[in-house]
Parts: sequence; C-alpha cells; structure tokens
Amino acid sequence: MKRTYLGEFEEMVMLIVGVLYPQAYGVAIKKEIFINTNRKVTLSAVHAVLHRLQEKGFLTSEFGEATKERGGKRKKYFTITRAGSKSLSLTIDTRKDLWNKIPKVALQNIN
Amino acid sequence: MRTSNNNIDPPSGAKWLLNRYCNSDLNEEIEGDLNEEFNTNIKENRIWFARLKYFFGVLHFLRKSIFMKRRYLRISNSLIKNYIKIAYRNILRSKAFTALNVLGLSLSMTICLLIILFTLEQSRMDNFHQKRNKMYRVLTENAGFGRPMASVSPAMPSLLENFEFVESAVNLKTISGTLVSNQQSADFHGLYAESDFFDLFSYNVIHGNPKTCLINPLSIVVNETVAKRFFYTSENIIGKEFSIETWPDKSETFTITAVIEDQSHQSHLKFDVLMSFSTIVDDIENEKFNFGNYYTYFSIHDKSDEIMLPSALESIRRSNYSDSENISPSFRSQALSDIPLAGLIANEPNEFPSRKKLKNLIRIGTILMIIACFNFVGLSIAAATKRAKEIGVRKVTGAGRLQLVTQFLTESMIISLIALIISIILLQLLIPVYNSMESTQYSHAQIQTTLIKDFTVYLLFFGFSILIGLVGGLYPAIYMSALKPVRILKGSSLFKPARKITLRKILVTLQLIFTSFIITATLVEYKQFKYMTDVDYGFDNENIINMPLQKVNYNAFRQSLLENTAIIDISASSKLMVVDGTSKILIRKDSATGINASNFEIDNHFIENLGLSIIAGRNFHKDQPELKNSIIINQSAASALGYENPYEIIGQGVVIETNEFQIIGVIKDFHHGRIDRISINDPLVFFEGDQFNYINVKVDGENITQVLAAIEAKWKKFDIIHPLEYSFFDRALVQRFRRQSEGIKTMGFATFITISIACFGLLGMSIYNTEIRAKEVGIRKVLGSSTFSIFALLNKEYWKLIGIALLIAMPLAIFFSRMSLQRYPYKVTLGAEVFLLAIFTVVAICILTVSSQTFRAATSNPIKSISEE
Repeated sequence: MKRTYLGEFEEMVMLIVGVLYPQAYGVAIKKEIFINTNRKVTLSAVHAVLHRLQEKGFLTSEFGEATKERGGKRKKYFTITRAGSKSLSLTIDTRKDLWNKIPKVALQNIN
Repeated sequence: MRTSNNNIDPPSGAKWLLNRYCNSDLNEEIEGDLNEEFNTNIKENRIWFARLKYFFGVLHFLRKSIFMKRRYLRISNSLIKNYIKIAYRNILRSKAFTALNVLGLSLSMTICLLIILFTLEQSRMDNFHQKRNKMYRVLTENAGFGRPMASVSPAMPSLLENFEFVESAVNLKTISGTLVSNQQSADFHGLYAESDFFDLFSYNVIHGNPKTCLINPLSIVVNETVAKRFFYTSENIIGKEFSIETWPDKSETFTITAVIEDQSHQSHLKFDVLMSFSTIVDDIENEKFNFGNYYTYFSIHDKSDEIMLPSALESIRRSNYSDSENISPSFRSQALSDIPLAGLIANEPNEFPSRKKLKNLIRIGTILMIIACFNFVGLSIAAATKRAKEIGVRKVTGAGRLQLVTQFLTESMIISLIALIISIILLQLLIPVYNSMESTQYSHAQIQTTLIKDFTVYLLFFGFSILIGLVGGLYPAIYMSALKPVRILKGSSLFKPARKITLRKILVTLQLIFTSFIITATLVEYKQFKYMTDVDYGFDNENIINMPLQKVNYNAFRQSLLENTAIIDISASSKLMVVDGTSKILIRKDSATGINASNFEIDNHFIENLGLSIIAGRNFHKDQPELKNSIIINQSAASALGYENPYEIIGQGVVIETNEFQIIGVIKDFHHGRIDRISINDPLVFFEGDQFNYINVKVDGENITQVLAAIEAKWKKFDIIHPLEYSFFDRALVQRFRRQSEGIKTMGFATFITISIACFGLLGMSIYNTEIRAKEVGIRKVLGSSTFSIFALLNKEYWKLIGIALLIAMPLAIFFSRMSLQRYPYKVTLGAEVFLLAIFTVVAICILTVSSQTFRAATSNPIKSISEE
C-alpha cells in the first residue's frame, strides 16, 4: 500500500495546484512556488512530485492547448482529485490539531 | 534586433537526449515546459542562460526519468493478458498466414521433438538403479582383441570381492535360445546371473523373492511379457517349468522362481529372462583366460572409495595374470553412468545407440530447426507488408516500440505453441514408425512411449516451443515495430530497391539445391533397390517354399510330403540361397595358392529342384549317397582353378582344408549370393551333406494356401511343439533388404520434408515480392499488359534461381549417384530419365508454389493497388 500521508514538498505542490486551479501546470507551479515562498525549485523536481501524486491518485491530469512557445507541445494541467483533497485536508487538520495541542509554555522557551 | 523566437531553438543535443531517454508519455509535457522556459529566457535576452538551463533541465529529468520510467514500464499481469487477447485476434484475422507458419514449424518441430525424446531417454539410461552412483563394471584391455572389451573372465567377481571396499560383484553371461513350455516356443535373449543380481540392479520383482530366486541352479526369472506369452498371466507361475534349448543341442529344464516387471526404463542391459549362474558354474572352472563371454558388474560401499579401484584392479592383474606368455591383459573400471557416453566398447552385452549417433541426431535437429525458423521469419516479414497499416495506426495511437515488439513476440510464441500441439499429435504417429524400423531395433534405439506421460518431457517441449517462438519471432517483431507510421499512412511504398543478391535469395536457392539433390538421390537409390529385388537370379525361386527343418527327420518328412500331389519335388540345403550369407573356404589345386569359394551343403535333389544346369559331369547320385569326398563346382570356380574348359576338370582332385575332394560336376554360373554384394562369377562349391537346415518344397502354383495347410498338417505329425516356419524367396529377399528399403523410406520422408521446407521458403519470398511490386504490376496492367505477360514477367526471376540451383545441384547429384552405385557389383543403368524426372519435379514444385502468388498478382485489380494512398 502506498503511503497516504504527504511529504512536505508534496503538500506544497498540491496546495499550489489547488491555488492555480484550473490552470496548474509545470512551469506555472514552479513560478508560483517561488512567488509564494521564495523557494527555487527545479522543473524536474516539480514534475517528479506531480507524477508521484498522480500515481497515488491524488491528482489527475489532462492535456491542454499547445503553444508556439512550447515548440508545439501541449501543456498538461493538473487538478486535485477527491482523494487528493481528502488527504490534503487530513494532513492540514492533523497539523492544526498538533499545533493547538502544544502548550504555550513549550513555544515560549524557544523565543 | 531580436528576431522572433522561432529562429532560436533549444539546444538540439539536449533535445535529442531528452527524446531518447524520456518516455513518450511524459515527453510532451516535459519538453513543452522546458521549451516554454527556454523561450521566456530568450525573450529576456539571456540566450546562453536559456541554453544552459535547458540543458541542465534535461539532465535533471534524466535522473528523475529513470525513477519515473520504471513505474510506467512495469508489465502487469493484465497487460500480458491483453497481449494474448490481441495476439489471438490477430491470428484469427490472418488465418492463412498463421496456418502456413504453423505447418512449416510443426514439420521440423515433430522431428526435433523426436530427437529430444530420444536424447532424454538415452541420458536417463540406467538411472533407475538405486546404487547407480556406486556401480561399475570391469573392462579388459590388451587381451588380444586390439580394443578394450566390455567383458572379463568369470573369475573376476570373486577376485574383486576380496577387497573390503567392494560391496558385491556379480557375474553375468549373455545367452540366447528358445523357450519351450505349455506347447509353445519362443526365442529369447537372456542373461545368466549370479544370486546377488538384485542387490545390485534395481529391477522390480513382482512375484518371488529377489534374494533367493537365483541361488539354485536351473532357476529362471521371467518378465511379464514372457509370462503372459506362455501362461497368459504373471500370477502363480512360480514353480512352472521351461525347457530351454540352446545352441548347439543343449536342452535343459528350468523352474520359474520369480517374475519381474517389464522394463519401463532404458537400460544398456536387455534381457527377456534371467537364469541362475549356478547352472553353469561347473563349466567354467578353467575359464580364467576367457575374456570374451562374461561380464562383471560390481558396487562399492562408498563413492569415495572409487580412487582405490585402479590399484585394486592392478593387484588382481599382478597376482593372476602377470606371468602368462601369450597375452598380458590389464583391467580398468567403468562407472555405470559412463557407459552410454563412452560409446560402444567392443563386445558389449547389447547394442545401444552410440554417442556419435546422438550427436548426429542433434546436429540434424538443429539444422532443421534453423531452416524452419528462417522460413518463419521470411513468411512473417512477407505478411508484414500487409499489416503495415495496422502497425501505423497502432503507433500513432500511442504504442511504444517495446510494446509492439512484445505484442509481435507474443503472436509468434502462440503460433509456436499451436505448432507444438500439432507436432505432439504427429509425434504419436511418428514414434511407432520409428520404433519399428530395423536399424532402430538393432541398436535398441527405441523410444518408449511411456515417457510421454512424464512431466519433464512436457516441460522440455514447452520450453523448446517458447524458445523457437522467440528466436523466430524476434527479427520480424523488430522489423515490424520499426516501420514508420507516417510513411505508411501516407501510402508511400515500402518499396526497397530490389538488390540482386539478398540473404533470402541465397537461402531459397540453397533450399532448392538441397531439394534437387535429395530428390535425385532418392530416385537413384529406389531404382537400384527395385533392380536388386527384381532381377533374375538364375535359379527357380517361384513356387518354392523354404522351411527350416528344425529337428525333423528329413527323409521321413520328405516321403510323407511327396504323397501330396500338389508337391512336385523336395530338396534340402544347409542354408538358403542368397538370403543367408555364407562364409568362404579355400580350395587348392596342386598346391597352387587356391581360391576362396562360397559353399553350400545340398542333397542330390537340389540341383534339379532349383532348375540349375549341369554343363559338365554329373549330379550327386540319386538314391545313393555319394562317397563324402565328391563336390560340384560352378563354372567360374573351374576357370579360377585354371580350367577354361569345364569338361577337363571332371575327375580332378582338390584339397579343401586338408581334406581331399573330387570334382564330379560343373554347373552353370548363377547368382548364389546377394546381388549387392556377390557377383555371378563368384566361385561356388556344393558338398553333399546329410544334415540339413532347410528344405525346399516345390509346389505347383495353384492354390498355395491349400498346399501350405496340408504341409502344416503333416508337420504337426512330426513336431507338435515347434510351429512350422516357412518363407518364400521373394519375400525373404525383400526382408533381407529391409535395411535398404527402410533407408529408402527414410530418404523419401526426408525428401518430403525438404520439399516442404523449400516450398515454404519460396512462398515467403513470392508473397513478399508480389506485395512489393503490386503498384508496378498495377501500372503495367493499366498501360495494357496482358495478364499472361505479367504472369510470365513475375515468374522470370524465379527461373533464375531455379536455374542456378539446378546447375549446381545436378552435376553434384550425378557425381554422387555414380559414386554411391559403385558399391554394388550390379548396378542399375542410370539413364537420363532419373535426372530429368528430378529436374521436372523441382521445376514443377517451384512453379506451382510461386504461381499461386504471381497469378494472384497478375489478376489483381490495378485500381486497388495504385489507389492505395
């Protein structure tokens, strides 16, 4: 059975796919990540995660239009599936729960 | 100024790399993304940066693609099922093509399966003995025979048992004779064996005690077949008796002490019965130096003691045989498992197939299979032109190269498996025929059909079939998957400029050469055979029934038979003319060097009965047996002894083996020996005998069955136990030539296979050529060529091949035929008709095969072929 929990980067990519709906594709995702988090990621990393998520069934894809800039190749748009949204919300809820469970005292010391 | 983006392309090297190693599914989006980024960078005037990023992007993807590729290329179970379904549908769609391929493969496959069975069986020889890893036999070397022998003296087992590491040693002696019991008789081949025989050999004793059954003298152990033959059952026969007759005149009574199961495994020892060695143990007291008749098999306690064997045998030799003057034998041991591999040693207890024969068979099988695969490849590629559209469509809708290859391989493997099923069926027919051949029976090379129920056999067959499917299907699969879909769908032809010499042409020509050659050879051998069996031998042989006299009194029997009016005359001889071979004896006249002559013992009725003519002197006296020293010779003997005029030799004396004889008559030459061995001018001498083996009964030709019945009735009065045996000369002769006739049948079979293979090769080639030239033919027709002229045009290139093949093959065939006929003193004259017939057959076969395709092409509708755009 494949893991049902999301890695950090996987979660990031999935969130961005949701943000960019309905036009989330490789280059756009990469740009959006940089815009939002100032993180530079390689196109190949993005694609790897996209396909891994697709295999897990959390994303689905379809081909869009081809443009001249792309040398006649079509874009592939990704969207979140129901399973994907479920696992995403589960992940975020779990995080939120845990965050709320931390006693204030623990965090104050770090300051 | 900056030109439009179209002029600057991403670095082509990186692009190529990407296309090569990235799966086509992912390729589009990845390449598209890379292109987009590249162009964005170009827009911002960072050309080199763009290129660099592109290049690194590709490299990154390469890294990831290895990881990604594996997931996408996993072939799951359902995918294989899908392939099989598609392959099945494809096969149904092109039924004719599949049928041809299956047929072509199964022909060769059947023979290969036979060879596989045979090899498997031989490799398992003697595997069923439990002690097989520790069993050996003793070989004798330098005992005057020039080669190592499988036999030793009967003293060996007891000498061996003196050594502690030897567990048990058994003496064996082969024996043949006749079993008589219950008013029936049968010939047998058996072994005298010592009482611990079953300790060593794991034969299954189903009735009786294996430990005690061979202890007492005059004990016999029979197998189930023998038991059922005489007693109709194998139960409760212990204690019954056999009378055993062995050469020359011995007859003893044996008691059955055990019954063993019929051998279902191969063994180099073959026997119908076992008799206790103790029966003959008294006769072998002084046989220490008899190395020719006894066999010693033994086992040791521990396999590791094997190394002690050479020194043990050496010490046996030193203590017993080192001081003999004439011969100095030495001994060595041979492991049981080495026996089939070492090849036949002199004086084996039985014949069995030699390793050389096995190797030859494997070679033949391999060649056959290679040729079959070539034809399979040829036919598949020829069919590829028809399936080009299908392949194009598949590729366009996304089939990957590997998937196409796998699909075509699946198809060819399924075809191979279907061929396997047909081959197995054909095999059931082939095996009995093979087993009944004389040469097979002689060398005990039979295949036991019980092997077919063995699982290993089917595993081997299945694996073989899969292998053939793979080997034969690989090249066509690669070829077909390489067809470019765009070209095909656009309709540009697959036309490759026809090269003058292609591999296919060479192959087909080779097949034609071989076919012509083998047709000629078979025809020649057949003609020779008919000649030998039909030729006039120079004496009366129709209407003469020859019968072995066995133990019946000749004169009494003769008188009794002559009472029958249908019987014209009766004579007797020691051997059958022509059918039996004879040895030669030396006749010397006046201490000259002398001549070697064939010899027969006959009675005084013989010469007249067989219609031989006396040209000088007289016959042996009727009704009065001559003094024993009279002989009659043939004309060639007379002239060989120096007397051209036969009259002059009458009354002369000669010396034969220290005895003196007088020549009283000379007969005209006739064929007294096999026409393929002995010439009519071979010297011959007749002695007058008083003991004969055969009588020759001349009957009048009407109603032979009635006469035979009458003779049989009379026979029973003389000998109730042994059945009357009789033979007619012409049938006996054909029997004697059984080897030749079987050889010819085998050649005929081989010819059939060769012709079929050549036809398949031709067919493949002609289908291919027809497809390629379809457009050309169409254009010609439109421009006005008649059907016939196109037909002739297409056929033309095959004439070239046939011509070349015949040109090479026929001189070789003529040469070979002449050479092979040299070995016969009497050859059939080879007229041109044999070669013409062969040539005609080859041409006819080729034209018929090829015409099926050329005719189709010539009558095709040109509109169809030209408009295929």
